[in-house]
Amino acid sequence: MKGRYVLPAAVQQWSVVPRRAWNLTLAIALFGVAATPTRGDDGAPRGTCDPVDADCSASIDLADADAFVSVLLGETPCSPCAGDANDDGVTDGADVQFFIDGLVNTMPSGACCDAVGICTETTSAGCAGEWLGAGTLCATSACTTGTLTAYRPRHGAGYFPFSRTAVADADKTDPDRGPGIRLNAAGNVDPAGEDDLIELVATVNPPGALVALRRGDPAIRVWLTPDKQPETDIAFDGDVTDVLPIDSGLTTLTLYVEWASAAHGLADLQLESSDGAVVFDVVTFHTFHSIVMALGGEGQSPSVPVDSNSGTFVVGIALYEQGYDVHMYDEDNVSSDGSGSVFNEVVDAVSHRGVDRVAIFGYSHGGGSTYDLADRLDAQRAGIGTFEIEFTSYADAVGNSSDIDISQETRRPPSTGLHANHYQHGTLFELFLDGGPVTNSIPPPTGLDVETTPWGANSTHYTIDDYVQVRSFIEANLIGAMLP
Amino acid sequence: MIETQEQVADRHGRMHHGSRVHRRRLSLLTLAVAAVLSVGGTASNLCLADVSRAEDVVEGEAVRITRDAEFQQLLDRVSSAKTRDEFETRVIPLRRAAEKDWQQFFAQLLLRYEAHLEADGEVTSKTFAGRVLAELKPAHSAAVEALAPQLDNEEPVIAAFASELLRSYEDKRVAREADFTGYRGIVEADYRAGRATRASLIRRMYASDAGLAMKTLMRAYQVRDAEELRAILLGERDIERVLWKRQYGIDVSEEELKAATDAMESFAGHARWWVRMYVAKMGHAHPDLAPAPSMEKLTHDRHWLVRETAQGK
Repeated sequence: MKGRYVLPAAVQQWSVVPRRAWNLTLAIALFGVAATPTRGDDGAPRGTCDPVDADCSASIDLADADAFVSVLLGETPCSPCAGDANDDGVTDGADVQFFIDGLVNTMPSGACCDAVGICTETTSAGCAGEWLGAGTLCATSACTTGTLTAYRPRHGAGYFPFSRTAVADADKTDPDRGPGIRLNAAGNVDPAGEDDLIELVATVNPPGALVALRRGDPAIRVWLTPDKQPETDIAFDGDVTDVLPIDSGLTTLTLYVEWASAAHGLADLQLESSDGAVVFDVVTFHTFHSIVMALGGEGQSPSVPVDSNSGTFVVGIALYEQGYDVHMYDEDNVSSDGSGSVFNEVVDAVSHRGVDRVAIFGYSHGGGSTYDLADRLDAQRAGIGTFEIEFTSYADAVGNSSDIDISQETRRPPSTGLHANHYQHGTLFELFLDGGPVTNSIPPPTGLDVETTPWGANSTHYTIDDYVQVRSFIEANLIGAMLP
Repeated sequence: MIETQEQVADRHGRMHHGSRVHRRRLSLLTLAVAAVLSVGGTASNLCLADVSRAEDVVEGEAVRITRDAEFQQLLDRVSSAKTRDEFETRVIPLRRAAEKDWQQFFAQLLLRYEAHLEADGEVTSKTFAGRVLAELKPAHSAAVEALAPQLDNEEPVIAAFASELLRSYEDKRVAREADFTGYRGIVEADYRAGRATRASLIRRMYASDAGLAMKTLMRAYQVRDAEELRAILLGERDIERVLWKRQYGIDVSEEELKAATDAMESFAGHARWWVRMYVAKMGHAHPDLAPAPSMEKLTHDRHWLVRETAQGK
């Protein structure tokens, strides 16, 4: 091998695309290399000519690889030795390994951080992450890491009747189980205040690390406040933010993500290094097409933590954790004519949030209220918008014309696509409270009398909603009937 | 008509047969002032005689229920039944007693609810009441007449439960409006007897359905002038038409909107307090239909209940 140029320090600042050098190997292997003479016709020696500087730029970088390939393909070399890395007088396949060795050995080394913060010292070309510069060392360089934690939807000023629930790592990019987000176009009512933004926590290391966000859809907007206070939005330039305002001593920044469009979508939001070289984490937001209304029985109110004896709310939380926009209520929020805050929430969702699928389920008087709500929604479709009641469920449904209504609710909710029904036979113990068969319900033909099962033989009105078999049946069939 | 203190006490005594009236808020002064204002108020196109009769309301005196040992024993026996047969057998003497005195039966049922609420829990206590009522099946009017005064019970728990029971007798559904026949019977009886009606009942009616409440009072107060009847009915229809169209997403024409706001304005200046009350109530729910000056004027209305409602109290 001949001597090479000593590259000035300034030239050692590489601007390369990782992995590009290794693509060269593949490119070369794909064609049969015809020998290209590189000596002068007169066979004159090449002096200090460097065969790795294949583009004669006086520096060794990946541009030389392109020039080398061109010479292999038959283009005239820019110097007598260009590409003839094994110094045999021709540029052919036998030069490839020598050329790569020369290229790699000439490029400077530096600290390289991957997406999870592991540091290795390698060339810029060999760095599959963020290359910290020529001469940098892992021992003295801190790698930046970052994660995004998205939370399930908010309700009012906080999360009640749910607890603040992070989307599981395994679900972060799942199109259904990932973070769901409500459309928040103009006209949305939000009677409990702006609560359609999704909390997102960016965590970085070291403190104050320089990171940015990249969005996959312009509908995504990011704020520093949950209710979009003035001058708290994080501006995007194109689809990338400037460096996030993480104070130098802090490792976290709480953000609120808005889907500011009336059009549905599925889009990534990723945390990346400020130069965009490394993607630290990604979450995938899906907009809610559906809404789930869970109605407790008489005397049952949503609580945090959930009362394990309120099976309806246990199911509601399970669905919330799986990416659904679930709303849980005391059934008295549905009046006997179906009106009330629950109805208003569904109307707002359909009218202003692009929701076109509804599921309702309830226990005892909540079953009666399920009927009343479905009845009003169906009767007033013309004023609400286009939607389907995809799924309803009763657990021992009792009519709810008032708190003392003890009549069985056996009417199938109007217009429901799929209705699940579980009931038992009341005894004096529960003052004969019970539901009953409902036409065209699942399990067919009229729902399940749980007292006919081994597990539910001793059920009462007060326990029927708590059986895991009942809860799982409702959950599984709702998921099967309706995506988030 | 202004009743004497004795007459009022007597009236309430009769209303709450078996109950002892507890005077917490003496309302005679209110009644007297209201009656005077009603007579002296500026009527629009109606003769003053139309509004001078006892079309009035009074803040009801607090009601206290006295325990009736016999009824409580009958209720206890029903609740301690061990079998369905036993339950049905023990209901029989309770039914006999109740059919003789529904006022007392409901009073004692409410008292028992309150007494057992803490020990038995809300669900069981309500379910027991519901089960007993389902077995006894009292007449709608008897139930409403017995329960309405209890809206003023001195115990908030009892008053709230009475309200809940009344709600069940309203039987409001998606496909039909509430049933106010029981309420109309009470108000009409008061009117014919020259008594003021309890404000708690009027509040309940307007809270449940303001339009139906107004029309119910129109009938209960025996309005006979055809022109006046038509004006109220047409105005209410003009307003309801707009609300109905909005409910179903149907465009409302400017003419229809104007007809509704004109009706509201006319109602706001109506001589009958219960017509103005409609505006006071609806104005909060549909402010675009009720002209702001009219609502403002109603906050100073000559009738205390209209004034209170317009003020959002």
